[in-house]
Amino acid sequence: MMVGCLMVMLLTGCQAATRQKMLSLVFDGATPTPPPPTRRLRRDLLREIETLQEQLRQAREESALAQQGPARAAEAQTPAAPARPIEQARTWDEAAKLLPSSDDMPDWVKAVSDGVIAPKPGLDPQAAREPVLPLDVELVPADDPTYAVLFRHEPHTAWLSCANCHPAIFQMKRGADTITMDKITEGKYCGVCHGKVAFSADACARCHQAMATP
Amino acid sequence: MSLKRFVLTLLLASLWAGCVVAADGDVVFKREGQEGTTPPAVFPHWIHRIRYRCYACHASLFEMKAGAVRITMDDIMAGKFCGVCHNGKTAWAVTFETCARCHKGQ
Repeated sequence: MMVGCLMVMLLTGCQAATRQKMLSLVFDGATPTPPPPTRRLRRDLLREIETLQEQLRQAREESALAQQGPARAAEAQTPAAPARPIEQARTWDEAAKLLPSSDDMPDWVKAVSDGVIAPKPGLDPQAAREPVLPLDVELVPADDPTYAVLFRHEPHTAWLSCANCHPAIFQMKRGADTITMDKITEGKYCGVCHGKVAFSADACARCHQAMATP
Repeated sequence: MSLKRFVLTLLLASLWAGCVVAADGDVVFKREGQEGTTPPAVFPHWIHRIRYRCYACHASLFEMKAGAVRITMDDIMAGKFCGVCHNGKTAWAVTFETCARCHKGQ
């Protein structure tokens, strides 16, 4: 009987919480020591850290998608496009034959919209496209309104990011720059690209709509 | 006589046409080094353009203006400028076997 009681006391005494109870029952002034961290507590903490890390990851993804806009989100999900025939071209002449043209010049915007080329937005396979801006700006010369230009951001932003042009080439405020054809043919303003890597100033009606032949 | 002149004109025209192969945006770099056997590098803008949008390279890797930045082979081998892609992973690596792919002069 006594041996049985001792065994029970020894066994229960091995557990931290019950040991404390037993000691305080038998001895006065047995200082209650804080229980050491149990396995359960550690596991709970680990689980909490995991949950928080998961929440942080989700929040980061959501904020990144919100910044990128719907176009980028859709792009990020689409798989890598197959190689286009034009990418096999060895010379410019071969490539030029495959590109659509307007005014006897390659139409790079049409090449993208027709899917002849699918230029990637960045070196990283996960790189997202810059948003396309559907903003038209009418630029009307004070001295001759017939030479008004409807500048369309949309085709430009299919290729370029805002920072490619603003503010180094064009100030953000409409009309802040005085753009003349002389400056353009000298390679300033539109002439930074047009006449070099985009259609030249010879194609008047593509910007000055009033000059289009009916 | 007139036939000879015609043939000569045709020959000259074909030679001239053969020289004008540079496409829009191609850049023929000026070499700073001593006059040597290595011809200047020609950058084919169109090859890169059919694969990447402008903002993939401009202006983070290259200024918009052609020749605005001095590019050396050491820079490229160190993974800068062309070396960001031309490293054998994204695009063909810069080695002694590939010199002539850029250094072909014009």
